[in-house]
Amino acid sequence: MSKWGMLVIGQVLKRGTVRPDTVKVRCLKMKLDNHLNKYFNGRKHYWAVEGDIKTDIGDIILIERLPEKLTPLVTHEIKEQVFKIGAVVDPVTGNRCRGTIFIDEELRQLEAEQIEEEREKKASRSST
Amino acid sequence: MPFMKGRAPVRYTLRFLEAGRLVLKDNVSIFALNYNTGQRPSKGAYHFAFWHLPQLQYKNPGVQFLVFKNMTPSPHLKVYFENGKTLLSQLDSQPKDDILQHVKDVFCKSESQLLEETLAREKKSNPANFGHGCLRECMCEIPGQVPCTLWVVPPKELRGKHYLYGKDVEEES
Repeated sequence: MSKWGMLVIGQVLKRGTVRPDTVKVRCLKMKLDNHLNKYFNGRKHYWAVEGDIKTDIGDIILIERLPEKLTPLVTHEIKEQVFKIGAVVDPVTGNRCRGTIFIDEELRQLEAEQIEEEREKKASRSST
Repeated sequence: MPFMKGRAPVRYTLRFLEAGRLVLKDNVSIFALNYNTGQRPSKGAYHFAFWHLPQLQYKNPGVQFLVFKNMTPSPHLKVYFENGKTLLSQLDSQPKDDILQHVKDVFCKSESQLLEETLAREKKSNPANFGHGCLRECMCEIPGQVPCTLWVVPPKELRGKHYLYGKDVEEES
């Protein structure tokens, strides 16, 4: 059986001030309440060091326990970004989505072009 | 029954938790379930989580179980293994029982493997057992039993040569 904490998924809470390349990650671990016999989410916090993957606060990331602690606090390293905040990709289809709705890339492109056009018009009007 | 409130409070009994039949394989690290509330295709995944997630966690304390709600349009299950590899299962419009069977077939230890493991555990824990892997290798090591024939010649009556085949045996004392 694998030991809990070797590979975990958690949400990025904040960036370290002393070491900006480390992030604090909140991982949920279910704990059984012995009286109610019901599982409740408990929180486990880990400091993880960033490698090539740059993360924002609020991302859901996969972290792996380092074979040796980097510092007395930093015990994990970031392996993968599961869900990037503001840019969630549905793993089944590979399309970007916002909650339960897929993002229409064409429509967005069209809107972006329209905004760009309006901006140019405004700029030309103000210059004349 | 005190505190037996809420929907399907049988889920909150130890007996129900013990009755879980799904024991995930040793190399499974994370079990992440994604479903959406109020979405018909997610219904099966929701029911699977409702009934079987506590059982799964009870039988697999070393695995992280996560539930993501309303993150992506399609309900799915993503299992992460120790070596970092993942397996994605689409749960769109799958009924709860199908999902259960799928998880059992793909991610869980087989019944025969579980039986083997329980037997191995019993063998180790029971001091009365003897044999390979136990406290005592041979019956001759146990006090009160016939001594090892490597060191002591057994009497004529206990020698198979005489008892089974009727051959002549010289008794040595």
